[in-house]
Amino acid sequence: MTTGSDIVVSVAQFAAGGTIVQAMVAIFRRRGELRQLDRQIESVAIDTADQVVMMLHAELVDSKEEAGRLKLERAGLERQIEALTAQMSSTRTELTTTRAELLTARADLARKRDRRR
Amino acid sequence: MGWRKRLASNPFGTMVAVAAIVLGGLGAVIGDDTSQGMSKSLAGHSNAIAHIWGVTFAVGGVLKLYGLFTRRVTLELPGLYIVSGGYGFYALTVVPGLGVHGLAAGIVSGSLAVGSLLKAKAIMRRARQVAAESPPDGERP
Repeated sequence: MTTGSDIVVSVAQFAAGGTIVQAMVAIFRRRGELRQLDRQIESVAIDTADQVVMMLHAELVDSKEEAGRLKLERAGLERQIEALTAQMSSTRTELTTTRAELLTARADLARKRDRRR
Repeated sequence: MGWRKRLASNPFGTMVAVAAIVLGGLGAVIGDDTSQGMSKSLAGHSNAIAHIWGVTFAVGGVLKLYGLFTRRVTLELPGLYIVSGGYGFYALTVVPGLGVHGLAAGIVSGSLAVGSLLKAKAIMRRARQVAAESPPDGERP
């Protein structure tokens, strides 16, 4: 192995050791700052979840209001259908009566014609 | 957030950690047979060093992955530093060991080492900013 390679390998060992030291420094000396960052990330997540819940709640309230409006509308339409059904049945009755009267009138007319003859 | 979403939002960070765990695990179990370049450049103590490298690298990967998926930078940051050291060590030993033939592996590994280091620096900078913006522990309302 050449001297250059030895130097590079030494640098590699030094770098690896250096990063382990850096990791230990991060754990022991910067723990406070890192914990604050953890808490901030957590609170941002909670805020986001809160916003989502509030949005969903608003959507739920809107949906309930719309459902109430639709129920009222349906009740109105049902009433309208009932009124139309009643009107239709009275019209049928009238039609039946008119038909019967027409038949009577026809029979009378036929009788009168027979008498003239 | 489930692990799928976490993976989708951090695919590179996740894979860097997973690769570290796999490579580190191999180094810890089979020693210097993991890398010909490493065993050549570390001639003499290569097996022992490869085992140490593997264990350290895998531990770094686990810390990085666990910290990333549980949103705990207190674990992710040391993991990133250790993973960076592991990749850097591999890059700097594979090139002298294999010469030109080790350049591809060395460049990929070296880039991941630099990336991990930059990510660690970014987390540290953010932590300092947060610490400067908010009062220290004990003074919080």
